[in-house]
Amino acid sequence: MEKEKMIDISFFNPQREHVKQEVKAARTVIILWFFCTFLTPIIIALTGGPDGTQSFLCHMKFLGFPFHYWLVAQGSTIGYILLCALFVKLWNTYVRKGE
Amino acid sequence: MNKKLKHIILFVLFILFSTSTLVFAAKGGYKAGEEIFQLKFGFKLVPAIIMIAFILLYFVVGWMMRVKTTEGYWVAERGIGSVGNGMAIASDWMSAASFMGVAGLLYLKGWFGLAYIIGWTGGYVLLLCLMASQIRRFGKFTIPEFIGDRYNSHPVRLIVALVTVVIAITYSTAQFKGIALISGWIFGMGYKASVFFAAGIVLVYMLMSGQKGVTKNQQIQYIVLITGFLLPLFIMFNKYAKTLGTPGILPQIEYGSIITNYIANPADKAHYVAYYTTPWAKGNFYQFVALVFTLMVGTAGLPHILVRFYTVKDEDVARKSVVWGLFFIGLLYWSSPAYAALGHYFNPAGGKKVADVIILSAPERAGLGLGFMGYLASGALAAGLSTVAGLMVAGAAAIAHDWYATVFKPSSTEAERIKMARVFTVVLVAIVVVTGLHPPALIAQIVAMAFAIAGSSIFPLMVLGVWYGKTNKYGALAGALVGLIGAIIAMIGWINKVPFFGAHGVMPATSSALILAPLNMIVNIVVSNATQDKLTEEDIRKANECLRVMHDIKE
Repeated sequence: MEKEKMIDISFFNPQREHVKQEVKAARTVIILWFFCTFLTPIIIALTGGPDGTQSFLCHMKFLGFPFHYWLVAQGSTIGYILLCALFVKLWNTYVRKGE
Repeated sequence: MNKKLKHIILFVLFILFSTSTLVFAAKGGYKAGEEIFQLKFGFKLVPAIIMIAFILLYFVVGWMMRVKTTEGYWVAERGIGSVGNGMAIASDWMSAASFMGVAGLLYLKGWFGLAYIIGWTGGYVLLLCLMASQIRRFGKFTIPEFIGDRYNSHPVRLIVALVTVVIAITYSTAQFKGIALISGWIFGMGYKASVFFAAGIVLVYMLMSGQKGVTKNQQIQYIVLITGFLLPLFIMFNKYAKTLGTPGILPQIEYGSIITNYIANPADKAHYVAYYTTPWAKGNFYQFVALVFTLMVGTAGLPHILVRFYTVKDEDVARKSVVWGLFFIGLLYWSSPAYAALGHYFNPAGGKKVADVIILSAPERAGLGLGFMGYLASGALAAGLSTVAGLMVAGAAAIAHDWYATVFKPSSTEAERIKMARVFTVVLVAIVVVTGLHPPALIAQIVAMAFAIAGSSIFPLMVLGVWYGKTNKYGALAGALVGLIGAIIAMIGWINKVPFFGAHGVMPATSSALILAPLNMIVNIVVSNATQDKLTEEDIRKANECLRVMHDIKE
């Protein structure tokens, strides 16, 4: 008798329609998550000089904060909550549509 | 029954608020010009009454939610809604250490310390996108069970169970430092008495009601901890509005001007704190990224957080509860930096001593009155208790369910299992009391590494288990061992001050998952592909069963 075949599931090469939709929702949000997390430190690293203070982000003011402080202390966290809400919404539009 | 419960809760809250307002009107004794940032220990009547009332409430809830089935004991009968589960996620997450410690960290580390804030919140995005829905669809009892069934392997199951238990014990032990500080401050209790006190409270309601009572209590404890955290902050900013030159309405925004005007560019140069806004003062770009990444994958790999997705009604609720949970966590993390900034304003050069007690000492110094102090302390205690309870459920389940009921005695009956669930809960709490009474130096070190350990071992197993069909037990075992042993070697290197694993090294032990998590995945994938022929029919059938359930495949 032939062995039962493994089900082929892969995040980067999804086969089934509804899994494709799930991956689409997840991929979009994870890409945004990357920017939300690492964009600020990357910009500071590229423009800020040895200790980071020369970056334009550090000279800008926002709501009374030094902008680079606000971005990490509150901006990113607000972004994460919005991303989670976006994922719920994307899931409902992409995945539900096929059902 | 639910109606009755609501009445009791409302009644207790009413009593609490009326006592706190009465006492608040009386005011506490703050002497002008006092620069000392030390807590006055000793028995304080009104705070003690407030705290005891809350503890009684937790018992009542535990008694009303008592359960008779293992499904009730481990996963709360899967009846929790999205807001409720969000609160439970948040209070599982926010320990006495994050209640009191995050502000201290920011006080000491400035901008670099913000890595902890994004690290401890951003992980939930990964968790939601990659795992939450699939865990709920799989829908059994524990995380070791998920891994063990997916890979059809007892060794992998037991490795994950072991990691779960070690994290549960060390993390709970670490809570006692904070809990003892609170109990000492309110009741004048010593450290040892505090350990028994806290463990006793958790044990009583856990034995009655398991995860069901723990979850209901966590919802109440969230409200206590967040109001306890925010109220003093709002009052302090209001009180000092004139001195600070701010409107005194929304501390979460107004602390920005404290940073700008008093910390970053003060009129008096002696008060200038360079590291507070200098990005790479306490670590460079690489160390920042490594720390953030490790905290994130660690968060997404902590078993007591993952298990929350079994307790909800369905996968829709599972997803929504992450949004709520993250919002509830955000409320605290948006406010911690305000405490830190205020601490700097009051006491710019306090160092670690001030940082440790910043949350308690700032309001005491601001003279908020005993009622509010009691409420704040109850909030900190709630944060400690809810985390210990969540950890104990996850840890006891790893022993009682994954070892006893699955590996050791699969033929056991429902009655035996629920009995063993309670037995192992007691055993685990007893172990935590012993380690709490004589904390080995290793405990603090493992706690600091917990995120690196969970992120290097459990997170990759979960992600590949869900998203890569070809992964198998050999790959999982190899990958998990590489991640786990790597994290332990890093920890040993760090303890022995090997520069490579130190805070400024190539692979800092507290941030090792940036290297180890991807390494774990690569090893898993390579070994899995090389061992395809070795799998038995049963291995493939079991894995396919899991994949079908997780991805909703009907063929």
